[in-house]
Amino acid sequence: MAEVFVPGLACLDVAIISKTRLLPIDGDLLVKVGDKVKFNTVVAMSKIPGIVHSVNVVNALSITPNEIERYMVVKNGDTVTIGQFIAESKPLFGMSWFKTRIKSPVNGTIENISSITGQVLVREPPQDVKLNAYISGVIKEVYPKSGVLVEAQASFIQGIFGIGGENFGELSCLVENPGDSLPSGAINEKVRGKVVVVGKIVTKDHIQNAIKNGVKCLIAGGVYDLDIKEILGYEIGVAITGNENIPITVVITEGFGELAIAERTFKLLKQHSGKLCAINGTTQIRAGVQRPEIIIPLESVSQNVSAPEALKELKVGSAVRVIREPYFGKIGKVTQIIDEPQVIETGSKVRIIKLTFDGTTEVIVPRSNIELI
Amino acid sequence: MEKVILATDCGSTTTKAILIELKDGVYRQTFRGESPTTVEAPFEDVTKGVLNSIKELEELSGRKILDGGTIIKPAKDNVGVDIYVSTSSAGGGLQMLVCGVVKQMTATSAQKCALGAGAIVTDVIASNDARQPYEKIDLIRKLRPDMILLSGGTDGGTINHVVELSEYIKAAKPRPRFGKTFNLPVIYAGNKDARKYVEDTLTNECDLKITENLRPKLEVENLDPARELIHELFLTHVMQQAPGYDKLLTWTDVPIMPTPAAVGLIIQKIARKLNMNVIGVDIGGATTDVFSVYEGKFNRTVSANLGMSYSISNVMKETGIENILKWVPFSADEKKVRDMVKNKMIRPTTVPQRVEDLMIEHAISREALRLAFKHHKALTGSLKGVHKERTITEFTAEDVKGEEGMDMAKVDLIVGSGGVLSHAPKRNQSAMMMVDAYEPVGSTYLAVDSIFMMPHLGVLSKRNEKAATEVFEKDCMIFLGTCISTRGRIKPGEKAFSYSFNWKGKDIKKDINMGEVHFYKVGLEEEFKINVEPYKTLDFGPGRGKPAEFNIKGGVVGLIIDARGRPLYIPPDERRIPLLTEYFKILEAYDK
Repeated sequence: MAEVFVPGLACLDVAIISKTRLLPIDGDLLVKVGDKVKFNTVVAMSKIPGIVHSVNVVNALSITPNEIERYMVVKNGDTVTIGQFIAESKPLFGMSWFKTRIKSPVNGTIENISSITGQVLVREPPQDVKLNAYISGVIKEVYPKSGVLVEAQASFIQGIFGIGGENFGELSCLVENPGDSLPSGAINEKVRGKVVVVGKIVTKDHIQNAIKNGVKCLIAGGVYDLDIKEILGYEIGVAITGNENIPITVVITEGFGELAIAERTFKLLKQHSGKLCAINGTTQIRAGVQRPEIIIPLESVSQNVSAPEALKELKVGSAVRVIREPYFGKIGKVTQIIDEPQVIETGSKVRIIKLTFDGTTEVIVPRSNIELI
Repeated sequence: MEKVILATDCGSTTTKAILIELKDGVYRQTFRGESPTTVEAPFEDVTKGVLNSIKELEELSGRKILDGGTIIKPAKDNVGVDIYVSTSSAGGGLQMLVCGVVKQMTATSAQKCALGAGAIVTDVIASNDARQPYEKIDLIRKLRPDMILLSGGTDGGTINHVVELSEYIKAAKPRPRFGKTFNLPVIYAGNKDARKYVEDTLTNECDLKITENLRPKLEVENLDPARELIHELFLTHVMQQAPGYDKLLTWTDVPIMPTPAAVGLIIQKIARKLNMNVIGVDIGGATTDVFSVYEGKFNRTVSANLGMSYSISNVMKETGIENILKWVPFSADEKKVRDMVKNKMIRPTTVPQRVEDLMIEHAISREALRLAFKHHKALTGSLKGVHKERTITEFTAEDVKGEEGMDMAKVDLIVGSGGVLSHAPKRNQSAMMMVDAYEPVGSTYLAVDSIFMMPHLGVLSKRNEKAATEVFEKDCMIFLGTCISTRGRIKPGEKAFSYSFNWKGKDIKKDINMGEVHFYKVGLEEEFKINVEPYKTLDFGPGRGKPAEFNIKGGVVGLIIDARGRPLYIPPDERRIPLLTEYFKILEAYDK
């Protein structure tokens, strides 16, 4: 029979994780192949052009743009210091106390004197950009002037949705069971700087409290969309996230609403409680999908590396999770697979399976509403 | 002669396979299989979904089509097929990054241009925004846009900044979402004096396309050339691309066609054959494509981020949840609806199992259809290549306006296609969704693509015209019936118009009040005239208060006489639920 395709969220005990780290512009590498790096090791650095400040000289001197060159006391490429005069008016009889003088707002270089707009651009000195390793591991490859490949043996968990970018911290599990929920007061000073597992739901209060207490990341089974909207201040249209202006990363493992974290995922998180992990909420749900990730590098090397999950066949007896209402989140066992499309409650004719949650009662679920676990 | 034809359409969410067979000298569509499109990890290969949809076909038809991962050709007895054709829109929506020199000027114009082309603007980078250059470069890299629109500088003005922006793009080495051999399209629509420098900087890094400056002077905005180029590149460059697309290319007997191009061919054929003004729509998971043949002119637009799965949350964002809930005939908890929409977005291949969930999806589809049609009217109204001079104040307006040059009273036929319309459990539901979204005026025929096969037939017509035409006429286009409706509104409950017709030997003459809907199950092959006499300011097309005579065609739904007025108004208060319940009951839309 045809195979069942479901979004393949990875949950691997041991995997080889490789991360390519690239500078935004060419620079210098600070590590070499074989070097051991930690999450925040700076692996490469470059100098980027400084910020450009514009000075509206023509307005200040009440002249026209095409006259600007005559009033400038510096020229393109000159180095200037903060407060240094860069242009001045030419009063009658050269009386200096009637002069209007324009100062440079920063230390830097004169970048452009425009006779069209009348603006003078002053660029600040170059600045350092530091690139960290993101995961703790070994430098496997170097790309001259541009970056490195870091590799580590790690436990690897993909979430289904996230907000916020790269982060790292100590994993801390605040709930006993994957379906537990956390009182908002439980997030306090004790978990500052940590990556905190909060159970079946992360609420607006949790996130606000976490930000207040310097928590790096929250992991939960579900979240209310309304809370995300209120935290971000806008509605998410298409799922392209990771650049939100928030000081925290949030990773959701199951979906929207109150949903217990999948047993296997929770077990792995709990098992690694107290260890450092890297985390990234970046999500892009479209062709060429990107899901949020939690990477827990392992201290000792294991020979039992999990292979990427292969295509699984749906069979009678397969354990599945329902991924849509009315049984959203429930785990059951397949009792019958029916190939001929059947009419369901909505009147739609779809391929279905029969499954049981408790071993006795059978329910019908469209085949597209389950995932194999 | 080709006796067995296999055709697939790789949508962003679902891959649909159909089998067409020559039986007694006539081509008929015989079996259909479908499978989730496999663009996500761990598969990331569109051909896996294709093979799986074909496996479904094998199971249902009993024909062996695959030998492992190969399509068996030619057909012999009950094995193999003679040809294989495919369309694709698996690449999904369009996300663009916009770069301009001055945030409030060229960058804003560029943003309007991208939005007008139906794109989602993931960020706007300007020379004068607060971010540092390295942050901009990093952002370009991380966002993985489908396309970049680079603009800046008026013609003859400074070139430094726009060239600097092109250097940022070069430094970022932006990689597309998929396709290693696929170069990221960058459209340059800035100062013409900087073209050479931008070309020198970007030619080897990206697929650079140069078009007219979208802001040639401060007070002149010229968005259409860039907008048309975005549209064209999206269709030819982005939409078809998906992981595994290269492999699929080697399987087909004619080049893979973008889904909207294939549907466009079919809509034009319908309009030519029936000699009618036609609106066609294909509502998918990521995009909604609208086609019109109006007074002989064909137009096609792709609303790249309005759809029923990947883009469902964007529909909610664009229209507002209140506009979705106004179509739901029960009291729905906003919080739960929000979560349901987002869950569909993150798990796009799921289907509603409860009637309530189906009703919510149908409510969302009304808004997706309405917004995409609005987009179509705005774009086709303005795609005249005319440079527009606007005042600085006009530039501050956020919305993208066009001239809505289509009179709904002159539209003869609306054809719906795509999952939510073709696979609605009852055809009455599809008819209602189209009437509510398009608000037809006068007499309008309604039709749907039976099981969503217009794309397949569009591409097939390039290879086997006879097969495509025969299947289209016999198996594809389903006439739903006719909608009679009037433009304008008067007080609810007041007499709106009277109508009379002779049906099955009986004279029917009735008055209908404002806000009411009457429904007659006029079947396929039934045709008759209807006379209508509007009251007061209401207008069927010929003018306010003027009577009219229309030809009615029946269908699998029937005749809908709609006196709810135009524009449609659904009261947001306690009147909404009884009103919708009554409307759905009259049209026998839902069994529950």
